[in-house]
Amino acid sequence: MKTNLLRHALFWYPHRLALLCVALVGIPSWFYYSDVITKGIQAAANFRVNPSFTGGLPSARFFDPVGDDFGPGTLAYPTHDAFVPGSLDIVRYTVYAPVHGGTWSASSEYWQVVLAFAGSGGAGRNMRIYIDTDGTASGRSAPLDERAEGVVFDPDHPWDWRIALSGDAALFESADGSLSIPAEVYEGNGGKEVTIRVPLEDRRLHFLYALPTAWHYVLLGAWTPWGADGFAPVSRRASSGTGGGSTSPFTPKLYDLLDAPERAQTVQLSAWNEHALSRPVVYPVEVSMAPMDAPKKRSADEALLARLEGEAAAEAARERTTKAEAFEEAKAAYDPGNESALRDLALAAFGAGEHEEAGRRFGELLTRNPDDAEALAYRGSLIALKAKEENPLTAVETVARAYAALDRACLLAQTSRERLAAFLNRASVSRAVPDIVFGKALSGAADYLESAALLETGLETARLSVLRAEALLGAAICFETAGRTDEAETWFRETERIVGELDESLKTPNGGEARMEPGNEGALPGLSAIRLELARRGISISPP
Amino acid sequence: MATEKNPFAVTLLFMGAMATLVWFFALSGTGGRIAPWIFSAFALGVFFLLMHTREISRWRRIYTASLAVAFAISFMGTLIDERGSVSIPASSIVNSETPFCHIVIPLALIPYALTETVIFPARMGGHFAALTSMLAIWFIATVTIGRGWCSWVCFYGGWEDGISRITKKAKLPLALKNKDVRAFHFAFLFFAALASLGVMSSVYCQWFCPFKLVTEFEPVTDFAGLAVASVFILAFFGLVVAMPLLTRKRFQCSTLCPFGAFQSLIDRASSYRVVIDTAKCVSCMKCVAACPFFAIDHETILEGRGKPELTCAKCGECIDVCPQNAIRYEYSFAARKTAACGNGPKSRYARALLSPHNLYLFTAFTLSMIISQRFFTDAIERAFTLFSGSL
Repeated sequence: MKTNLLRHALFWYPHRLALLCVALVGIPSWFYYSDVITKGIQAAANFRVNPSFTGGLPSARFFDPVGDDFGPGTLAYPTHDAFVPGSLDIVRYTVYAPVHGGTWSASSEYWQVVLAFAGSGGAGRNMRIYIDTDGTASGRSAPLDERAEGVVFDPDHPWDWRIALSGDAALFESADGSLSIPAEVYEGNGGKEVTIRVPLEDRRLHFLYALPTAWHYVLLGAWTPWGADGFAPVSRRASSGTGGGSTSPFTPKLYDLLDAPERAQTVQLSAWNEHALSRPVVYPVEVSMAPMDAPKKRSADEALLARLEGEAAAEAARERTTKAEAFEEAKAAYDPGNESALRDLALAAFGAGEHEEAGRRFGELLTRNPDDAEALAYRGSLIALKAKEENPLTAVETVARAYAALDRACLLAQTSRERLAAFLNRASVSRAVPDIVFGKALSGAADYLESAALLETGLETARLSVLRAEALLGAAICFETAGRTDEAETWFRETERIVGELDESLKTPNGGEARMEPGNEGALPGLSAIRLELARRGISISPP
Repeated sequence: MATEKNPFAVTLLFMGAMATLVWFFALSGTGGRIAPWIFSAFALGVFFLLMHTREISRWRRIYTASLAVAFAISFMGTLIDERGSVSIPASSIVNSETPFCHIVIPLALIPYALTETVIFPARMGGHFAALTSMLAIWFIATVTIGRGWCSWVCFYGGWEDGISRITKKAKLPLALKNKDVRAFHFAFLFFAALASLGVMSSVYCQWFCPFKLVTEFEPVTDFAGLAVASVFILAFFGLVVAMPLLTRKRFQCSTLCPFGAFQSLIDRASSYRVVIDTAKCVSCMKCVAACPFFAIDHETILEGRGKPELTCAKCGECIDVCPQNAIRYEYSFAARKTAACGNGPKSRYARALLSPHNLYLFTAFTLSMIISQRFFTDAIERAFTLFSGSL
């Protein structure tokens, strides 16, 4: 009897009980945590689609500043709804090595380029990519229709071919008019990305396979069926189909172009001469046509990192002191009958890290008005902060409750202040929670970009520039977390550009001191932290 | 004939566990929607009948055939919602947004090992039809029920499950061709895998899959497209409708599906087997006729091999038809005659609770229920919306 019991305990029961546990608990848990499991699989295996499906291997990638969709500096979009803000702002241009043996595609031989824009809305785009393939004087130094873009090309790089994209239709044409074939156009990323595939079945295009280098002009205007080559005209004032901000009949009809090295867009596009009747000259970027090596990881400058870590720590300590003082002042000025004072106290408490007090005060605001978007947004952040101290199982529930408040805040927000509070708080939480569990990195990036757009008030103060840079840096980090390296790189570069411009403006005697906040001379809160994050990624911007 | 009935308490225990899972996965958080309740009642009803009557295959077929129809409705509806049409737009391929199908897994393995890339333009993650989601589901199914996926989970196979049982007798008996069919099946797998490696894309999807008709297909914009569409329509009606009707077998699943052949090869990793008690078997050959997967030959019985051939999908047809109760589900470790064999405790309840038959059914149905609940619920809601406006 005892032998049987021992035998059963050692051999008979364990295997069967294990399978019972698998059936009752293992399988349900596997599905319950499938999001974490699948993210773990992807993180470990880094699956990617074979390039023969996605356009081949990239050969060159260019980043263009964000928000430079103003042509020579003054242009405004036509007022028609088709011209969505940001839709005429190129942020990234990727060229791929020509493909032969492409899979599941309309043509098995093709050449692909991909353009990313700051805004969606392809219906209003009129884009031209002029290509010099032989690097010689042969080709055309002006567009097909001289009234179209209103520019001429670098005499050292007259174009031989062009890709003409208008709306969702594209043509690949030769400068001499001997060849014109339709190209395939595909939209992605909600209309913010356009993929153009030029079929290479015509033997006359097979030279592209052996081409080592080309020079590209990427020009973007607004589309209208009545304009020369589809380019909407520009005049002093914008109207439905006409762009505004033109200061001369020679103002090019271009809102953005891919900056050539050391030749800024505004300089290129404003270089006309009315007396000499000469149009602005634009310059190309040099494009390798061979697959590029995987981008090398930038190495951080250790010495700069150490310095920035010290400065960021000192900056954080100053901030804590400032916020603690602000909290004390708000407490002293608090008047229970004054909602504005209550709100100031709640915000000051949150900023000073007094979470209990902040929770109470925001609760009072919500009692007075349950649809107070700003209070809801901060309340959501406070709930999410609690999750840090909880065990993983309850933390998931807590974060879900936080998002319920944050999502409601974003829905209810009306004014710019409310929208900024809602989107920024939600973005911060999305950045803080583990993406492998919650998968919020991408939506966090979108929220940060929305916040950055809200901070573009037209009033360029140093403080607002820093806040905008913080938001864009947040977006870049979220894209990085989500594995969207191209988009992350776009926003890291944009953050770098803003910090660089800020440093330049602060150097000027009047510009810098006039915009400094009183009592904070010599330092802008948040700037050191931004520099530190960029430096960690090998983007070194030394403080002045 | 069904095996020995469960004590009712054990059936209730399993029912309680399944009801908890159904509540958790299908009902919680659904608000006042009726469709999840309809699905829950259906799933629990089928499971109860499975456990109580011990007639496995009839109730399993009802469930999987319903799943096949529900999946088609739900999947096609989802595609229309996402991109406006069931046909695959070129942008889905260019942007790598094509839903990933489990059938591609065996064809993508060798190319992945050699190139570290996936020869299918699908989302890699972040979607129920992404590669990583299908890999996760495939893994858990493989280590538990192995090729039982084909008979319990596959949302395509249900078509043949239902259609193959419409006629009472096979008009085209193929029992004597079992070996040839199995050989062809594995040969086709190797051909498809090598061809996929050669062209670096899934040739089964491009040229052979008959289920495009009920999932997604290439748009018909010219004569060539029409010819291709006609081939796939013929493939569906020939392989998935006509042949199962004539042979009473899962014909497509047993001849062309590379995933089924692959799962047969790796079924050793699963936790359950079907075994034949040669002492009880009287060689009546009813199991040979009944098996839909060409997995039991006359020689299997006459030579007393003690188990079906490699392509057994653990559907339970042979278990149901055997008049001697000679065929049963068994644990893999027990089938290999390890120390965990033996008669076990005398308690009927303990034996029933931990019997391989009950645990296999519970495991297989749990997988099926969790994977299918969203399709059933969605299909019910879409059907009601279509016919009556709302649910």
